[in-house]
Amino acid sequence: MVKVTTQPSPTLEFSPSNTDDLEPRIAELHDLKLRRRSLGSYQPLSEPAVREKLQHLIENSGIEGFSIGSLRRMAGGASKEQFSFEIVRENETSEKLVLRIDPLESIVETCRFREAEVFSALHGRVPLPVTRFLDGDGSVLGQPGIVTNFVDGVAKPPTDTARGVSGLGTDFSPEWRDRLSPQFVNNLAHIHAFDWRTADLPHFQAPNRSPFQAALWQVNWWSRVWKEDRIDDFPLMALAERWLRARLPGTDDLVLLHGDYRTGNFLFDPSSGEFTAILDWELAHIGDFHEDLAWILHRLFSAVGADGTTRVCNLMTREELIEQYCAATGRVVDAPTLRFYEVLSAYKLAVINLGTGYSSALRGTNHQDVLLAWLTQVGHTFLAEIARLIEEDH
Amino acid sequence: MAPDTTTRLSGIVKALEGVIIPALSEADSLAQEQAAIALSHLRMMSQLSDSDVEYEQHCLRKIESLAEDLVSSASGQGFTRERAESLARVLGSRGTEATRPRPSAAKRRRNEIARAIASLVEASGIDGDESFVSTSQRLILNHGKIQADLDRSRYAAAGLDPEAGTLPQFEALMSLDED
Repeated sequence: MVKVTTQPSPTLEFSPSNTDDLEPRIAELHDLKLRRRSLGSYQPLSEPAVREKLQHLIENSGIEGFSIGSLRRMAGGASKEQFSFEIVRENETSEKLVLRIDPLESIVETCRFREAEVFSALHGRVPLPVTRFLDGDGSVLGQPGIVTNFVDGVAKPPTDTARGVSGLGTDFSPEWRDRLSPQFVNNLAHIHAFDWRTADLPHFQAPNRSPFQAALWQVNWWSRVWKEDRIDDFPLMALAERWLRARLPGTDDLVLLHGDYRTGNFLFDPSSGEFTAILDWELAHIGDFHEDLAWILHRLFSAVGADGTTRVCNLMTREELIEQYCAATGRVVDAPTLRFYEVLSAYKLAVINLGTGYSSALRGTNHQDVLLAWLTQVGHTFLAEIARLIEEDH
Repeated sequence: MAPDTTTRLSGIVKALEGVIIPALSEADSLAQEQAAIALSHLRMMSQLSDSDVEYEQHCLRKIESLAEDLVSSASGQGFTRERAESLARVLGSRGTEATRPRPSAAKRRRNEIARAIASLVEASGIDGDESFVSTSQRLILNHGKIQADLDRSRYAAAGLDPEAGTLPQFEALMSLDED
């Protein structure tokens, strides 16, 4: 078993101003992304092309005597192309599966190996998809991809007919909130309680050179993406980076983070309300638990209920989330650390939408260029949020 | 002469709405999704096209003003001084009046200045005087809040901003900010 790398780079001395100090696998992914820019634009995959790729992938895993049926593109997905299909065996048994495959550039650049490793490591601890086939380096599919089982469930209550993007604006009634909120917090607590040090996570590295390295790796990750992807520039982004570098919080309590834990990224049974899967683990990494909390708290993922109360992820108030998380984990939330990661969350969202989304749309390297160009418009709310948070801190 | 941009866009919107989108297969989710977003883009472009020139020039004027304030207050050691001089040079090479009315030229110029400001801010994090770190934060926050509100208001019709209902009207922000 290959565990998490604990000494990421023996040649680097820790320094808050060292912009090269970021998780090696993340740096590698972004090096590869820059190299792919010479390949030109990207066209969404056709059904015959997907069928052929799946055929090769499944045959490569040693399975014979099967056919692929009911192949359908899945709606949504600004990050990866997604298809559902059935693998039908000679004995007429079948299983519904999901393929997620990288376009040339995604709104976030992530690793399919890591996704599969997390699914395997956390299996049985929180509800998750199960990996069936993996092409982490794209050697078979042409681009990296992962095939998992299809998990039944819904991301929003059957009564919510709103068509928000990526789970934003999902409306939960008080009854749904009562059913989902405890599971939301408890699953997060389970993820953060996971002993990643003994797990098989060879594509992850841990920021344990200094208590401040977890925060520095995040600042360096997203500031690198900003500098490589920005089309329009904004002084607030440079200010945010300077502010973050000057306030790196330390931690010795490193946990496995989901990275995008929020409404829209979990499925539940529409009858029982039980969680059936936590999805979108592509941003998972090892770091400070405040980071996941700050992401959940971001205003974009909040909604004001009919009673006028603002609820994070439309599930609970900010105070309730923090209180329930602390009760479930025994951890204590540090206000300045939480503020640091709230600024980082707003900065990341600005990088993703105003930087990478715009850049991919301009270069035509994604299957959803038209959507990414549309989402760029929301980026200014994150700049306003950066200004608000920094000003409040001042 | 040919029809103006607004007329062309409205013709395309009508064709998409009335003919093209209804003809798409309901089973083709990507085509349905992208057609709907394309329609939204066209409506937004039609709504904004009349104010493009005014908006880009306004943004350029505001970032020039910020840059001037930053240059005049910059203080620190080698990196900071070097980047402040670089920003001053960028400001000194002002675009000609003949190119300024074109929104694409104004936007390029705005980005050139914004990039030079980013370099100065980065350097000030290394060897800027404490007073400049504080002053530059105040100046950038002031500029950034106003600019972000202007942009949020301009794109509010996209329906992505959770607080869109509380934002002032775009026209009001443009005129208010010129006072």
